[in-house]
Amino acid sequence: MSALRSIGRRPTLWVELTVLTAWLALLTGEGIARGYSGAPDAVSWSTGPLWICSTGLGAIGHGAAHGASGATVASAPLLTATPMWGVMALAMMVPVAMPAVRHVAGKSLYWRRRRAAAEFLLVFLGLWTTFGVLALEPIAGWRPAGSPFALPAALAIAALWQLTPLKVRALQACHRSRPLPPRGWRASHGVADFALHNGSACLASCWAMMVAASVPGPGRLLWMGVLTVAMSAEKLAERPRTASRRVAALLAAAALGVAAALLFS
Amino acid sequence: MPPPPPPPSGQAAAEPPTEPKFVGSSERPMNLTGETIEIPVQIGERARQEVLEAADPWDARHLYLNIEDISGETNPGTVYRMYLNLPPDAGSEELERHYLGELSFFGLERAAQPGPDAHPHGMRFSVEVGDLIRILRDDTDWDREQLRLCLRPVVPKPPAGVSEAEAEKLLAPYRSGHEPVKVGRVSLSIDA
Repeated sequence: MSALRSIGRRPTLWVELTVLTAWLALLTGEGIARGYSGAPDAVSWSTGPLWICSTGLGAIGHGAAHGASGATVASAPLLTATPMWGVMALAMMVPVAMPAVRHVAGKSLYWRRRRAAAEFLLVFLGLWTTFGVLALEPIAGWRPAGSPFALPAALAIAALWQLTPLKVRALQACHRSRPLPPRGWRASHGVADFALHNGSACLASCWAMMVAASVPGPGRLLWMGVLTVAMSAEKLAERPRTASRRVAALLAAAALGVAAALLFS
Repeated sequence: MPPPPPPPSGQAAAEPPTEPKFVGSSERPMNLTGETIEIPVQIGERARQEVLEAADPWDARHLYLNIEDISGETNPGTVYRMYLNLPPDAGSEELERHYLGELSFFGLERAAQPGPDAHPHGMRFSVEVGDLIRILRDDTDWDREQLRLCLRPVVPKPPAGVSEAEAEKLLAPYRSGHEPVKVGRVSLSIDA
């Protein structure tokens, strides 16, 4: 009973429930889309045109293109696609940022813990949404991104990025804290400043894996889950360089596996 | 150490929090450069009563003063004595009564740059202040709204028999100050 009470008192419980809801929404959407189409390899919610991150499915104004599943789909308007990318960023990146969310909530005066967590998430997700609109939108319109080999290529790029010194530096920067003023606009500014620095470091660390997660294809939700676990694990690991190399090996193996499957199928 | 006295009859013991509960904090970062500085810590209005209660010896809650996000390029080699709400022109008795502990910066340069395969981390110190807050509450005219952390550099005494010129040479580094060490925040928390 006391364990339940202490869970209920957690200032970040609502964040954890929101992430869970985002994943449930993704899974439900996938299920509904499959139910309507009746075919397991049909274009579904996660592989379909609603996703701004569906690289290779054609960008706004570029008409239709062939996705990895072979289905012809149209691109999504920015107004529809941006919230979808937001849900994806919420589901994948907020679990990775949970230590920072807990830091902000735990170090704020206790009556503004939930507000501090909300302020952090607003800036953090704003940063990722901006990345989605500015970076992934042009990629979606790039013709080679429509190739079935886009996924292994994205995974290989992500594996290479893992091995760069910039990646390790970004991963280390995710662990730097900043002083949080106690009250008023200074408190909000302090949280926003921390979210901006932490979010930028997180973006520099994880952009390549997020691009790989955004490439459409069968089993995409599974990919997203695996990549979320990999990104969270390397952030929590005590040795950032070692963790980064292990994830690079995993990504390289996945790239080779997918490429081999495409070549020999 | 003798066990704490039991609570007065009829008073229910408050439950300690499951994780630190921050109830007060300084407003902005401050730099230590070898001078005495005072850092004000405002206690939140809605937590003042709780702080006064948690200072009781029978209370299961503990009060901690946390010196957080300490950063700097190098360890200055200077140790600071910490005092809480030290009156101006305090005599030796008051210095002793308001004394909290000593603050040194061993490992400071490695905290921010720990090496290629380790994460950087902030440096912090926590010291229990329940007893001192009880003294402030019961024996002084403390306003109960603000704590003031005073940091005084420790200047060593030159050994006996050393000439004045040599003593001056020994003390010169302490008089000229040191590279700034930033104290990001000083906070007050209630914990188990």
